[in-house]
Amino acid sequence: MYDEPHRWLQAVENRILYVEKRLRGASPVVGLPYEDGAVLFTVCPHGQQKIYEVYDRLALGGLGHPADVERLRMMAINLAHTEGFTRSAADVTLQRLLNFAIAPQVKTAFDEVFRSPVIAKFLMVELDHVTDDTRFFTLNFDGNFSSRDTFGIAAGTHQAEELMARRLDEHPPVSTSLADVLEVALMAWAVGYAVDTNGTQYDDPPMPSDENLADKLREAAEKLEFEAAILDRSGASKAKFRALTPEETAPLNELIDRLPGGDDA
Amino acid sequence: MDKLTTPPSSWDHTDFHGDFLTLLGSVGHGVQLGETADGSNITQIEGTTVLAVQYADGVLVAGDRRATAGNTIMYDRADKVIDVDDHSVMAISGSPALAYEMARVLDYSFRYYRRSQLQELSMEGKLRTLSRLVRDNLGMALQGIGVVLPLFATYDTVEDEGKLYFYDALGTQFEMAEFAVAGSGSVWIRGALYYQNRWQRRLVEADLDEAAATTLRMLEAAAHYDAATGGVREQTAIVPTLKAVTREGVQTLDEDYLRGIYTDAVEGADVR
Repeated sequence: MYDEPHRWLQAVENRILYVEKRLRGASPVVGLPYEDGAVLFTVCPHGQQKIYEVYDRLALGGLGHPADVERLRMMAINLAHTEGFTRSAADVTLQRLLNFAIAPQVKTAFDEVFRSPVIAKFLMVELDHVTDDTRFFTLNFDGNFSSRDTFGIAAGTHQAEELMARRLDEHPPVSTSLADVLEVALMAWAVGYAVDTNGTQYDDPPMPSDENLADKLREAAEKLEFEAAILDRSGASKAKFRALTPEETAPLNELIDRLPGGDDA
Repeated sequence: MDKLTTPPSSWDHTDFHGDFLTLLGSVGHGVQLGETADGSNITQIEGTTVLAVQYADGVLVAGDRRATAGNTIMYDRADKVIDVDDHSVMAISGSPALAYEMARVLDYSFRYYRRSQLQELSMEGKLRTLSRLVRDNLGMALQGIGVVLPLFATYDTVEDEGKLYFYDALGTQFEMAEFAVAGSGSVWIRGALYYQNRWQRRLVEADLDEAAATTLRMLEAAAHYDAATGGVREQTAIVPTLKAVTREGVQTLDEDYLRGIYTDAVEGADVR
């Protein structure tokens, strides 16, 4: 059936549509640097987790099918720990993990049209061993990955990611404090959430208005919870990951109240 | 760039259940602590005094810095008190090569469990992991190649108190109430610690300064009688390793602080 090239191409395109449809509406993950390292932020239902520690200076946020997120999470953890033990912690870098192991496996799963594809996207972050700088990698469901230093985004659709990136470019944090960075992460998340739950596909998607974002955030706040974690380079422990407590993310509710239409607007 | 050490079934994580040793085995890199090759001609590096005492804030663990092979001093800056996680340390006596490997395996095992299972390994689980490593080393121990007898100190954050354990070569763990000693120099100070704890000042009532002074005195006493134990060597600026295990975590005591304690409480208290 797939021995003719055009049929195989059609099958791959069908897979892309299938996976994108499954990912639409998934809660985005945002990554930003702050004064002591990097923060990953998302919003998810009570009891669920999307942000994980991978290794001493590595963390990831995943969206998509929980079983696929779990498989890739464990793959990353297994690779990082065997590499760290047999060589050294300094040899465990996201570039190597993605280049040589994770991305090829995801690509293989995507290409094998008789197998289920990976219905997941990932935002991974690391603190550099030498410079302590942050670096974000986004891994797509087809095995493609890209990196940047300024921020990282993983969302259900390309248009959500484009608009979240534009929001972060146009509204960077006013300072590098964790509180300011979390507020910017929340607003960028709201952009992705508002776009992906709209359901309409645009060629040139419009940026949601502040009123629209405020409505979406209030809607989300009623049924979802903030989840955030940091890689804190200032900590004495070699493991830099720490999940933020509900008390530490609670000020974000005050931000929502200050938005148009809110209690303190 | 070298290729990664890739587990053969990268997608099948359910095999490991948070067990780092099984994961290592899957990549052909199992820890060979139980090797039984004839090592009768191998010159081992060994010799030590390590001790741990309960004090007011937790457990203070101390070790001298000397490693010997027969009657030769091989190295005088060995660290025998090793951080295992944020609230645990292991003090090693016996073969450093195997002991360091054990400490590294423990460190990775605890971190791997936490990250893969999304919860901390319980204190009992940590103790059993070390017990398993010591028991797996029995073949080496029986041949006299590489016996390792660790002390393990941890702060139990559930019960809010420091805990101290001693292991025998079969991997049996013994919880020690107030102090524990191991290594070739330990025979000289076990009685001294008992005497101090029974008829002088109780160790658990001591603050950090007092506990540090006691451990430094014990190490000097051990070094006096045991050639395989290095004490405080002022001419080479070598001081023992002391780590405090408390509610706040593991703190390695600063060398200048230790020199001050030594000057005041060990040298300065010399009334011979």
